[in-house]
Amino acid sequence: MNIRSYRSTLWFQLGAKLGLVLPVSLALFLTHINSAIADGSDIDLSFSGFGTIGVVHNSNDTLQFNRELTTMSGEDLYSYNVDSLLGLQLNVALPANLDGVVQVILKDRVSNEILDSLELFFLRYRPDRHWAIRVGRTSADLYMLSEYRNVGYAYLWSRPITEFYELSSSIAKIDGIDVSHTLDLGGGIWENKLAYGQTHSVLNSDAKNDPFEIDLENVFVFTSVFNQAPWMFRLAMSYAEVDKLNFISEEVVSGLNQIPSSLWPEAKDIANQLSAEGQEIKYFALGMQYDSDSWIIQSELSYTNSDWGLLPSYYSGYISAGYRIDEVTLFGVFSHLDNSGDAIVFDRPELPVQFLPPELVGQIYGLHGGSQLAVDSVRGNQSTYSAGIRWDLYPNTTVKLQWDHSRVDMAGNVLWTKTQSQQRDQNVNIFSLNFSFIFNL
Amino acid sequence: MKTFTLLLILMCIQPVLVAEELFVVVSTESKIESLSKSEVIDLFMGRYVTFPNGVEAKVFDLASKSEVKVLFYKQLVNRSEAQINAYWARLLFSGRNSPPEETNTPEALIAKIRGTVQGIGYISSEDLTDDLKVVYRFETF
Repeated sequence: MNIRSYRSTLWFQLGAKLGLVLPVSLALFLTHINSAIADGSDIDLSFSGFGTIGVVHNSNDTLQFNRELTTMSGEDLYSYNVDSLLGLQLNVALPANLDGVVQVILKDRVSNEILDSLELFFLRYRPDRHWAIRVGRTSADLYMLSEYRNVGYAYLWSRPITEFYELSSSIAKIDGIDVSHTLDLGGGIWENKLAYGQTHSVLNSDAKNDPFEIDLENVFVFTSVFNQAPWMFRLAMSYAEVDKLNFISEEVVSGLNQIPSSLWPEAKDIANQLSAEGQEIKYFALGMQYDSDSWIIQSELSYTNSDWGLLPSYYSGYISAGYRIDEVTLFGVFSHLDNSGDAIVFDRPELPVQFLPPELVGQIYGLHGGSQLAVDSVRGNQSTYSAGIRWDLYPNTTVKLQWDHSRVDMAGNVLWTKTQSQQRDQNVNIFSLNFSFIFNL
Repeated sequence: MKTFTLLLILMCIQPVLVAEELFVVVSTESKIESLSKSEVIDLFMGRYVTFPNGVEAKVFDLASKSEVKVLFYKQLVNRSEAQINAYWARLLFSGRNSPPEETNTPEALIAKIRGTVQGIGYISSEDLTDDLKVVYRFETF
């Protein structure tokens, strides 16, 4: 694709795909740059970037490892696509307390839409020392690493802890507006932020050719962070509604809605449980970090609440401890994910098979089986022990070696891409070697 | 004899320690007269982008592998250079803030501060000249 058609595609997607927020912020951005140029004011442009080259070893042939659901799983014994990525960023400092950031990340995404590579794209106004308002695409600030989860150089582990981050990072970018306030409090800094907008995500599913494409609307994220070195405490709350879903489960829903209730009275109930539109998702998270000169200890806990059959409520959390010895940090992590409610079981319909055409019977049993499979495949129950080493080779580069030992319940493998059905609880060992770097252009 | 050698070593070390006393400086044209340690941390760690009086600050830093830089961040927040870099990677790539502008030598840094009214940087006490104003000095150890 040449640059001209790339740009026209980008413009088309800006206009057509994402409503008004991005085009409006782009227009604001360009207007300010133009007027600043006309005034002869200073515009300060800076380019920077980050990246990871990584390899993941997984000898389990049923469960393929995922770093997050927006990227493809590691399909081979040695997979290079899981952790490897490249990010490029442009910072634009403008007069009148304005600035803007554009960040593009290249990785092995499930989505093939160009616009989904645009990670950050916002214009910010800081009216005074304490307030900041951003319009455009920002990171959904749900958890400690949410704003820099792609920057391997910026944290200890090979990747964000999967039990805690893999599902929640599906909602990574918000197109909308946020307002933050920063305050000095008792020797520390207290920041509160409220974001509102919509999100679009294309996620990995077991059916390689049928990704899970979901749009959320009325997304609210409230974050409160208190920082007083060496301590940091944070709280996040979020609410979102499902706008639309493009996935095979919606076909099951429309099939269920066509079944006469005299034949299968529960079909409508099942359809309502599986149907995506209008479902509400609530998320709560607590985090703390202790980062002294030699110890770095951090922990996060979250609870996700939803009545949607495809997102059963779950708890997740981790605790991580690292010890620095000069340029080397040794670390260990324990993490866990579990659903808070019991698994849904849809009773098999009792059909008067002798009076029905065999195709209809087959169709109804097929819908029952499909519904049960859908709610079973989204359950999560697993624990992981990790140990690793981070070595800061040079001020801007780091090498990480990590071993993850996971116990995955046979009825709780939502974090993995399955090549076949998992017949028993399994232990999986993941070894990874990562080289992460940051740079200025 | 051992005591004498120890004394001799101490005498040699002492001037080095004094020479590496660090000052946080601004241009003499700046309206800033003094800052607390916490206000210096606010600026150098990107917690605020303005001075306490609301004027936008332009922070200057030394390039990596400088001894003065290592000492500065050790005294300011007790962090190594790699930790400071990882910290700034978090702020930069989350879109929160940009790191201080790096200068290759203390001389270049001083020239930048002289030429920038809202500039702020740190120098070794022996580099102090009349056209720089000290707004914070680290307590000698």
